Amino acid sequence: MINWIIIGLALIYSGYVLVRFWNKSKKGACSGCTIQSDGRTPAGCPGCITGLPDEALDALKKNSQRRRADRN
Amino acid sequence: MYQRKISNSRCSALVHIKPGAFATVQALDAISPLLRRRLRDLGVAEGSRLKVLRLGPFGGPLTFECAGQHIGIRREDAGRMEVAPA
Amino acid sequence: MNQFALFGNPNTGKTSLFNMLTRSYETVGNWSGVTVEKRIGTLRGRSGRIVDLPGLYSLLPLTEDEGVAARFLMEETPASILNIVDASQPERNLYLTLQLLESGRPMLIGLNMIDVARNRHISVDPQVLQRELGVPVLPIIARKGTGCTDVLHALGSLTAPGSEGFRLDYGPAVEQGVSDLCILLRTLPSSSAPRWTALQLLEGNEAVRTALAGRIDGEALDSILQQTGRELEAAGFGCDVSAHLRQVRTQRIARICTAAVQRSDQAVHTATERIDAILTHRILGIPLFLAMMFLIFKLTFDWVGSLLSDVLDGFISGMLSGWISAALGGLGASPFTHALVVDGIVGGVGGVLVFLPQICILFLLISFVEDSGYMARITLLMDRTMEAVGLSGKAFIPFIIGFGCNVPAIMAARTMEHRKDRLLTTLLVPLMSCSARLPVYALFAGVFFASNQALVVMGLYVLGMVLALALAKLFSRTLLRSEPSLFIVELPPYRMPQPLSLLRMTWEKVKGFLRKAGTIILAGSVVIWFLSNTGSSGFGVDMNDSFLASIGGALSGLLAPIGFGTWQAGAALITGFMAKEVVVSTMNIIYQVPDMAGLEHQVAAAFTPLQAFSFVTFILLYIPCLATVGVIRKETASWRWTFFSMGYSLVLAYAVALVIYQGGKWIGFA
Repeated sequence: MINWIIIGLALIYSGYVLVRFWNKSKKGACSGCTIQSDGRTPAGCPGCITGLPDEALDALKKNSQRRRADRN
Repeated sequence: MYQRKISNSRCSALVHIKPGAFATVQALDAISPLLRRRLRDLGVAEGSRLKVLRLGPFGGPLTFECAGQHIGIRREDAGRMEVAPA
Repeated sequence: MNQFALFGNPNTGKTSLFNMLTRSYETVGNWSGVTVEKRIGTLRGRSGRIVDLPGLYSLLPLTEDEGVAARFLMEETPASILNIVDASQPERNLYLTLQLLESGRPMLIGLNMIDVARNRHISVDPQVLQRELGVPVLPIIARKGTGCTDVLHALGSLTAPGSEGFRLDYGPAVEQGVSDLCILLRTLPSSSAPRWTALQLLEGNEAVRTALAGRIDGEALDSILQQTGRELEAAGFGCDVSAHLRQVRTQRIARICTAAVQRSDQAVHTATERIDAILTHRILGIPLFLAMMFLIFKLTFDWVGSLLSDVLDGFISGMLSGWISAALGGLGASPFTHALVVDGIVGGVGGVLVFLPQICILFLLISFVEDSGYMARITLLMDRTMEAVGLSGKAFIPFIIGFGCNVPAIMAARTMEHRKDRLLTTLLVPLMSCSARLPVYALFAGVFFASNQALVVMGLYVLGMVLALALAKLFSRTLLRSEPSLFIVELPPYRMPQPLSLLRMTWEKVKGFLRKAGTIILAGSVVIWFLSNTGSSGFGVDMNDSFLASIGGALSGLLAPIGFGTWQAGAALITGFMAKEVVVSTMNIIYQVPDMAGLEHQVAAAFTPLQAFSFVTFILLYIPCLATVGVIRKETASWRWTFFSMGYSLVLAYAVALVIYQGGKWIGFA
C-alpha cells in the first residue's frame, strides 16, 4: 500500500513539474522561476515576466502581435 | 584616422584634448544620429563644458566628465566631436 | 485599485524605491539597464499597485526596453506617475519630468540621492522645484529607505494637476501644429492628454505613432507635421521640430535650475576618480579584471566553497539519507520504493544540492561586483576587444549576467540600441558558463584537478568567452552584416554595497537554484531512475540493459572520437538538455553511489583526466538548456535563429572537444 502511495506521488509530482516546465520554457521563463504563481518575479531573473498579472501579459502580447503585424 | 576637417581653426576634436584638460562642445553634427541623441540625453550638448579624464587601453574608449557624470565613448566618435579647448 | 507608474532616468534608484515601497525584492544593480521589462508590485499597506518601468532619458524610445515605458503611457488606463529625479543630475533628469508633466496625469516627484548630491556639493530645493513644476516634490534616499514612507503617504492623496498645471509654450508655429493635431485626435479616446499626444507626434515618437496607427488619418497627420516644420523654418528656427522642442525644454530647465539648484565649484567625487585611475588604467585595467575573476573562483572553489560543500555532503549522504531510510523502513516500504527514494530522489537531488555553497559564494561575489559600480568599467575595458569582433561593449553586461543564468542575460540584451547587436548577443550568451554548469565542473575538477580547481574552472569560463568573441567575429562578418555597433557608457560613482541588500540579492538568486532543485531536478531524477531501472524485459533489469543504457548507447559511437563513448556519458548529455545540473544527478543515479566520495571514485575510474576535460568542455558548449531555448525563441521571434543557436553550439562543442581529446592524446596525455 505505502509503496503505491510513494511511487504514485513521485510520478504525479514529476509529471506535473515536467509539463509545467515544458509550458513555461516555451514562453521563455527561466527554470528558476517555473513554480511561482504570486504577483512578482524572482530577482534572480531580471527578465522573467511569468509572474506578471494577466493584464500586463496581455498588453505585452498585444505589443508583440502588433510588432508582427507591422512587419508583414 | 580619427582626424576630420575642422572648419574653425580654434576648434579641435575631443580626441585631441589631453587628459585632464577642459573643453567646450562646439558641434555634434558629425556624430551618428543615434549616438548624438544619447549624448544629448545625458546632457552633452553644444556649449557643455567637458573634462577629458583618460584614454582606454589599446585605442579603447575615451572617458570624459560632463556636469559631474563620467561618460565613455569610442575614440572614433570622440574624433567627430568638435570642441574648443578651454 | 490605484495604479502608479515609476518613471525615471536609468540608474537613478527606481528599483531601490520600488523595493522599498513594495516589500518585494527585485535585483538592484549599479549600471544602466537592470530593469528590462515592466514589473508590477503591490504597495505596502495595499493601497495600490506600482509598475516599475525600464529607465529612460526621454519618452522618445531608442532601444527596445525604452519602448516599453513609452507605450505604457499610451495604452494603460489613467495611472498616476511617480517620477524619480536624481538630485545630483537635476538638469538631465528634469528633461523626462517635463515630458511626463505634459501627459496631464497626477504626478509625484521623488527627489532621490540627496546624499550623493550633497557629497558633490549640489543642493536642490524641493520647495522651489515644487513651485516651478506645480506637482509635489519629496526628498528621499531610496537606497536607505529615507523618506519612503512620506512617498507612500503622498501617493494616496495624489490628484490631477488640473488646467492650471504645468504648461510650456513652444512658440506660435508649434502651438499651431499642436492645436491642429488636437482637433485630429479629438475623436480618439486616449489615456493621456491630447496636448501630450500631439507633442509626442510632432517630436516623432514612433511608439506613440504605432499605437495610433489605423485609428487616425495618417495623411492628415503627415501634412500637419510638414506644415509645422515649414512654419518653424519660416520663423527662423530651422525645420527640425524635435530639436526645437528639445531646445525650448532645455531653456526652461535651465531657468528652473537657476532657481532651485545651488552648486559650489569644489572638486567632485575624487574617490571614484582615484579608484578609476587604477581599475581602468590603460595597462593594468585588464590584468586587474582577470585577477579579480581569479580571486572570485579561488574563493568559490578552493578557499571556502569546497570545505562547506564537504560538510553539506556529509549531512545529506549521511544523516539525511539515514533518516529517510529509517522512515521508509518504519513505513514498511519495499526495496523498490526504497531505491526510488534514496537512490533516485535523494541521490539525484542531493548530488546537486551538495554544490550549494559554491553557488552561494559565486552569487554573493557577483552581486558585490554588480552593486559596486565596477560593471560599467568592465564594459569600458572590454569595448576595444568587443569592437574588434563587431559587438558593442555593452554586450558584456548580458555576458556577465549570463554567468548567473543565461535566461535573464538574453533578456538584458534588449538594452542594446541595434538589432544586430541584440541578435548576436542573444546567440552568444549560451556560451557563457551559467551557474547550472557549476556543479558539473565542481564534480570533475574536484576529482581530476583537485590542486588547481580554480584555475581549471576559470579556464572554462575564459574559454567560453573567447569562443563567444571568435564567433561574434565570424557571425558579424558573414550572417549579420550592416549597422556599425554603437557604444556609450555612463560610469556611476563607486559605492560600497550595503550588506543587507547584498544578502537579499544573493538569497533571491539562490532561491531560484533551490526552486530548481525541488522541481525540475527532482522530476528529472525520478524519470532517470525509472529509465535506468526498466528495460525491454520489465522492471529491475541490470542497468546496462535498461532503456537509459540504450538511449545513451545510441550516441556512444558518435561520442567515442571525443573521448567519452560510454552510454553513461551519452545519457547524461541528453538529460542535461533539461537543465545542466541534471548531468550530475544522472551520474549520481547511474553510478549508484551513496555519497560524493563514492561518486568521485566511480568517475575517476570511468574517465581519464583528458577525457574528463574533454567532457566538461563539451558540457560547457554543447547546447543551451531548454529554458534558454525558450527565451531565445521568444526574443528573436524566429525558430530559424533558435535552431541555429542549438545547431552551432553542438558543432562547436564537438569540434572543440575533438581538438582537446585528439590533440591531447597526440601530445601524450592519456
